[in-house]
Amino acid sequence: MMAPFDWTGIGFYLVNLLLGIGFGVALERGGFGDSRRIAAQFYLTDLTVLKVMFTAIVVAMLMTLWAQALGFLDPARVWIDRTYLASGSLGGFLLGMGMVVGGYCPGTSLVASSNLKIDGFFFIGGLLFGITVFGESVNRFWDFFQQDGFRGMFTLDQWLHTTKGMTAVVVTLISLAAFWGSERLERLQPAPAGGRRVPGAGIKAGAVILLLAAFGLILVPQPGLSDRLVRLGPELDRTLSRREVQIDPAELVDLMHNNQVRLMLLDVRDEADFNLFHLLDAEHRGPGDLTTEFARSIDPEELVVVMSNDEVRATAVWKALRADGVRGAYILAGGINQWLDLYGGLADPPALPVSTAAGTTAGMNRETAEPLRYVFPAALGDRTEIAWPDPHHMHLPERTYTPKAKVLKPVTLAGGGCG
Amino acid sequence: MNRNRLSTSPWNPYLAGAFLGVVLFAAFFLTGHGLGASGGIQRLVAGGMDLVVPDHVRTSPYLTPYSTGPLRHWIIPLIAGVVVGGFLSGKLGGRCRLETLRGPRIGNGTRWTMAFIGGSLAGFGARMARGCTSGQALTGGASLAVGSWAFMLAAFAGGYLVAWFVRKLWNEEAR
Repeated sequence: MMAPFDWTGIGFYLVNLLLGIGFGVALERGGFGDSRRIAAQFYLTDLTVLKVMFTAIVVAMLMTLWAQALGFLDPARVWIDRTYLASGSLGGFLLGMGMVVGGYCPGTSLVASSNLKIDGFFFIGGLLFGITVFGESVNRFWDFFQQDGFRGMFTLDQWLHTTKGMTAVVVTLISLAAFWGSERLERLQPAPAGGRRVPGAGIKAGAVILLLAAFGLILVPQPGLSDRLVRLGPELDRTLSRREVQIDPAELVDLMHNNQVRLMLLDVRDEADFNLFHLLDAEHRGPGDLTTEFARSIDPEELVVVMSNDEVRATAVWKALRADGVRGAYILAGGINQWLDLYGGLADPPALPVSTAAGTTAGMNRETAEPLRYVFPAALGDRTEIAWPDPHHMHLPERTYTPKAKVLKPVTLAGGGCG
Repeated sequence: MNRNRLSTSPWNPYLAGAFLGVVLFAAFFLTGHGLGASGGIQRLVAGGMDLVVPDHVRTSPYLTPYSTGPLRHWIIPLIAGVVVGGFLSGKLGGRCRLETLRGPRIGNGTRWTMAFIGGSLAGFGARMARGCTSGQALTGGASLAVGSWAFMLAAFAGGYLVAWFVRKLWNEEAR
């Protein structure tokens, strides 16, 4: 079994509690229970913040990349913060200002408060206030928050058009240079009462180890999509054979009418079939468009439903998406053909099964493993009511289904209330 | 002597950083998620509001997901651990006492006021950025997320920009 692991019950609480204890000890021993030390970073008198932060980033980065390269850790299941350039930069800017004015950041204020620092309590009071104000005002700049500068899962190696290994070398070298500069800067200050701490032989040896670890990553590549597919294959096949991710057409209709769900409909059929008929707002993606880059651009909150005429092509795409870490990916059960079995007759004029249709417009005579079994009077695209069957205005066939899609708690829209 | 110092005094920053890096890696390895802090406080706020004004929370697309079983999210035991770990470490080092840490030229009242204002800015900013120094800078920095590096640069920029204006809060003499 490959890391990371799915924790449940007491183990879930215990492992996170222990990680938190380690985090708290590291922050306290780094000296971050003291607002003065954090503020000193911004007057260049004590650069502990920079040293601790970047040492931690480099160590964690190298260990994670090595664990992935050696096959102990599944990269698709390691969280990578999504890139929102606009809200992320503005938020960072405000947080930096808050750190100088208030002397802490959210994590360090918890540590300070646990050691009874009264300024830490006040900082936490401010946090609660600021977070509440944000929650109450975010609807006013929702598009800025959600969309401006959104790049999905976008990492430095993609930005630099290079490998993770090369990027790790660059990050390590820049960090070591920053440490060297920090030591020089601190030497300009009068020595503190306890005497100055000069990096000893141990620290220098550590720097060499980091460099070697970084350069080593150039030689050992990160696993690619095919490696991950092979590794995850058995697990994905189990999920498929239990039909845990094939969602019923009736469930999809309900999802299409649930405005709290961010739904992405991914139509992976041939373009000709897509032009004949597709679901409302479905995106057409050919085999060449379904890259790892595309998978990584998908927002983790999005629910992706992949569809082909039956399930064959959709299943292959689903596997690739899952291997690329898109955990919210599903398959339309029975594909577009089953959709038309159910709803095709409601269209005006109705979609006709191939066998009964006589010589109408269709591209159905192609040899394909997974043909569209219906014909249409014209290339309708989504200009037909069955592209978005509306239970309020159409008599949809009664159908019960087992919900498969994991969606957020539905929001009840109270009359007159606004967010 | 060495062992004694390790259990009481602050560590060499590089040693503390390496230890923090191992903890962060352990989080990635064991759970797949990184570290966090402000997201936990967000969940406590949303969960608390859900008890007081549930209709309001359920009509807010932003708050609703945070109010759904807030205590069942990994970040809650994690920040509980931060409090426990911070306390144990400070207690062992004799740094756990009721006091206000401030610059030499201001009184407690000013420090408390500014701590609240700074906390408000940091809280608002952290949610705007979907994470703070823990969830964005450390976690995203180590996983090489472009947005997290932009966040870090912006945070340092904001800090250095304001530092001169609030120097009286922290420094001994006017510079």
